[in-house]
Amino acid sequence: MESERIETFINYLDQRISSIQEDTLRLIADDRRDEANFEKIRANIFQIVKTMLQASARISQEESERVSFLESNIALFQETWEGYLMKAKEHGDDLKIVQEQTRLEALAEIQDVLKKTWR
Amino acid sequence: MTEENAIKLFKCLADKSRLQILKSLAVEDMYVERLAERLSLTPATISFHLRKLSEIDAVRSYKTQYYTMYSLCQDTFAVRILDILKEQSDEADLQEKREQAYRKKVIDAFFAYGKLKSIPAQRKKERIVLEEIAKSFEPGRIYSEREVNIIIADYHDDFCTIRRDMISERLMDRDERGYWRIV
Repeated sequence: MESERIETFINYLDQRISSIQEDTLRLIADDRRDEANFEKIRANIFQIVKTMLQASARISQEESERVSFLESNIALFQETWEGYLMKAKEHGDDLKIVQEQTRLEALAEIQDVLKKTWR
Repeated sequence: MTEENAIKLFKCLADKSRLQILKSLAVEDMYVERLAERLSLTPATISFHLRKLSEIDAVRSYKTQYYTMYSLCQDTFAVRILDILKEQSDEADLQEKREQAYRKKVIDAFFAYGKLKSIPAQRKKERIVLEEIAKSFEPGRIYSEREVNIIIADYHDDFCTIRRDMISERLMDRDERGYWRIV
């Protein structure tokens, strides 16, 4: 049985995954397949965070410890992807720039909601 | 334009955002941020699309004092699609061989010892069979209906259907003088 806040947060992630999937389908129908692929990347980030949160239950049953596990992993991802973005910019790799920016945007949004939920 | 380049061009253009970018550039040269605002996309997404468009020589960039401007490559779009289609395909020989092999397969299946076993139900196959029968008619010579029927009857008893189908397939034509083969 999950705590109320964890349940709320998982619901938020589910809603975002489903709304991004709808956007993806809309973009495909609108013949914007590349942008649809970027949205798939975005949805994937929400899915990863959800999986991490669920997996955190194996580490601890304490809500605060689970949130801190999540925060530290998100920070690790952020650091890695910021590095990738910097490299992509150095090499003028426009595809990678959009991909990394999309990942980082999704992470920033999740971090924001995470902070609001557990402030 | 090579076949490979034509495929790249068509693939790249089959995207609404890229088409919108090109439409904007057809009006006037623009920089990334302005395109991003017009199309309600992020500058990074616009840059990604512009990169793809430059790879197929659809757009080119030039630097001004403050911005990198993008413009439409008129030459790329001045090429007629029909000219691209008329270019000799890299695969032309292979396609011709496949076509010939298919024809032979149909002819072998429907003819036995010079006789047509049955009239194919499939139009594509019937066309091949009719073309084969049409070879019995000398180009430029006018035949009476009786002569046509006798020639076709050598292949199949239902000469009326075959004769009519040869007309409708535009392999033969007729007027008050008689029938002739369309070369």
